[in-house]
Amino acid sequence: MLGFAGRVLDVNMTDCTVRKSELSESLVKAYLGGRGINARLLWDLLRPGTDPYSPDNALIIGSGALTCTTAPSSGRTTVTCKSPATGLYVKSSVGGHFGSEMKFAGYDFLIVRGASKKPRALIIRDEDVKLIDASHLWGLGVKETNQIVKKDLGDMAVKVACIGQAGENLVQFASLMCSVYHAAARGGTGAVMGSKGLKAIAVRGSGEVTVAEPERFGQLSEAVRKAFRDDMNGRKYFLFGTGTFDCGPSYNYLREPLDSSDIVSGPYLLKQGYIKRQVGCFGCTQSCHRYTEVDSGPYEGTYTLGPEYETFSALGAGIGIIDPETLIKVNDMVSDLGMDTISTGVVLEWAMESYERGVLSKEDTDGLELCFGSDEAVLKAVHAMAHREGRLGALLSLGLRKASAKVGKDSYKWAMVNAKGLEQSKVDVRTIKSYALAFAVNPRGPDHLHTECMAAWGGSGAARGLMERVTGKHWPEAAAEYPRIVRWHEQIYAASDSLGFCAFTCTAGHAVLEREMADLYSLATGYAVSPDQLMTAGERIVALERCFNTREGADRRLDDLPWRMMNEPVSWGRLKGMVSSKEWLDQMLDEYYALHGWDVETGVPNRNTLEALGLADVANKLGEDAPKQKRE
Amino acid sequence: MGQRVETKLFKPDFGDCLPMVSVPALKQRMLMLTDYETCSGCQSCVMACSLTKMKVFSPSKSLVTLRKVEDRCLGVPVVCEHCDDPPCQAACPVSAITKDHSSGVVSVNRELCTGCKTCEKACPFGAGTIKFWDDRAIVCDLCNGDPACVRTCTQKALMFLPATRATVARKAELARRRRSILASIGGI
Repeated sequence: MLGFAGRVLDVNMTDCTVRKSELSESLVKAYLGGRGINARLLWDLLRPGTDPYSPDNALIIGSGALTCTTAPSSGRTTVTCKSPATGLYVKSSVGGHFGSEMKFAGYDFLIVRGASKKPRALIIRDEDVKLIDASHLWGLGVKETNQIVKKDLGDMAVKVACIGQAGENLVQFASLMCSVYHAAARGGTGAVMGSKGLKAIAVRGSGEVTVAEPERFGQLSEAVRKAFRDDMNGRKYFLFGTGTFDCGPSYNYLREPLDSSDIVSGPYLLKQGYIKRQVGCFGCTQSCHRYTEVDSGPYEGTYTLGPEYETFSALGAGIGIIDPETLIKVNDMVSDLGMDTISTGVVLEWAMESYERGVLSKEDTDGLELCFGSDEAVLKAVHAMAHREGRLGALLSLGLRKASAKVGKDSYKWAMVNAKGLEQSKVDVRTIKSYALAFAVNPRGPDHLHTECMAAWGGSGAARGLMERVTGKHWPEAAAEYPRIVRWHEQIYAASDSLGFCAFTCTAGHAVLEREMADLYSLATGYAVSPDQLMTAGERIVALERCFNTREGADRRLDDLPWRMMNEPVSWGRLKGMVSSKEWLDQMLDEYYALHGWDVETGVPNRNTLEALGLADVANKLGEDAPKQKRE
Repeated sequence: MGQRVETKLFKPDFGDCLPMVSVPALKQRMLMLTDYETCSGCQSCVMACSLTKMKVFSPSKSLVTLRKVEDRCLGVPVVCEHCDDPPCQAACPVSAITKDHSSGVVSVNRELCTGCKTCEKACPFGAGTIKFWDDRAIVCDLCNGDPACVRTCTQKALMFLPATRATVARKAELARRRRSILASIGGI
């Protein structure tokens, strides 16, 4: 199959069997690739109500349709499963070099099902696929696991996806770490891998990927690459990485964001000499990652990739850590233990505020002075979380939804988690309204990586032009058309994730939009896909993900924001008084559902809508299953 | 092996290096420079090469090889340096490798090549610079003066620059550093 490796690898951990099958062409035509096909596979494989930790849950790793090619920044891989944090659909997009190596080995998709009693590692070398004993790896961190796997196989070029101690201990926000530092972080994908007894997947491929029109594909890739690099938005990420932004909301959104010019931020780390190298994922144009080292002081010898913007914000300004060396150390620890830096930071913010308010006692924190800005307490708490040690570790490893429910005492009011149950990523959605709606309707919970509406800020001529095109209104009126903006971003995100494009090239850089994606996809696969068809496929994927959640009992009530975002207005600066109230959100949701053709009362896709998208079978299944499921 | 090679070619001292190229030839010549310190490890160069040469995407069909140390985020691109006095040429038992001093390109006559891999062993940059397709050696031909790998490299880790005294000196220095890092990561 042109553009694809053309095969699916299905691994059953229970009986250690491996099955290889052809990738279905109809699946590719309807769902493009990566995220889209993952979503359909998950819908087909799971029965409603499946326990995320049961052997019946499936962990699906899918490489992008254009991964392995020269299409700029197209090396993203999508990890999909039912999330233990939310009990709903989760997809987590990850960079690095794992997905591309999987494709070179001859597999576009890897499905892991069942569960092994003993720790196992999956070794894939082209046709040779086997599950081996991994008892010697169990209990090790991500870096060490990578080193030992490579040494055991005698091949430094092997690409590894593994979990750290957090995944083994079923911490609800454990991540699956690819190529050492790249995390499929959100929603507990690592915990699902841990529940299957799968410590690591090592892959090495010697195959090739063929495209329909190599010459024209090469020329178009090069033109897009060049246009992006000449563009100011593209250069911004190239120069400073994601740390180019401010350090974000501080102290659990209680205080004004810190002035990032002289504290933790990308430019500051560069100036101080911590950043040693730029690092890129497979086929990347911009290399937004930064490799950092600490050369002296108490954390001398620490090396890691990052911190990224979200880490600066969650594990830096969010918990009051403004010393760059401590931040690099915490970033390294969290990555090595295999946890999501966003959720880890947000859970800590809640715990710190709870402690300072007296809701958590010293007994609850195992004697730690868990105050904002306490370096020592943070390092100990992170270790305790990943190992589920002590009262504090046991509590925080549950994730914020369960931890705040367990503690009670109104602590949900400062828990940055919405009804779905995922910790919110670091954007103040009281002030950025397009993000507020996007966060509320995101099927995995409140975060930016389904629908990052950066263009709504109007930061460049390209962004303003794009908003005018999407909403049909002139700037600045266009900026207030939130439902339309969110829907367009959802569609293009679904398409770009499926093709393997990075969001920074697409919705943040505006270099690879519908036209470029459709043309590159057509030249690679030989299927003539127009920009409109691409966006329709995006809509189909979004609707299917929505249906998955509907089948699990989710409805409009779960499309909300954390309590603080809806009830506590901003108390500083020129944005003082802003809030995303329930009334405002309800109004936005009505418009948003109507635009999608979903039922306004429940937020469930209408049968007509699903049929028009070619999802009649999904509508039928939904009719059979949906009423039976009740959310706890 | 390494000793014999390093003495002659990439000495920062111009004395050994420049006289190899006549002044008129120098004006027309371009040099491939490889700076691993700016390489982001993205492999775009590897894919661009395999697309240009073989019309497919495959690391094993690319004339650029990327050696990586993942946990240190280190990527070291390895591609034929088109040395002025190629050790591979000297080592080839059937004289299949030639150096065109006017263009600076090292090439392999695949008719003559027996696939003995002596050239690979002689290369100061280790395996990866010379590939073996159908059991015969093949090396980078600089894409007729417009290398696809260089065009794709947004990090400027691969550069194709006019041969001036400054470029020659820089190439020598970069090559020295790259040999040293390759030796430390077991690439040579």
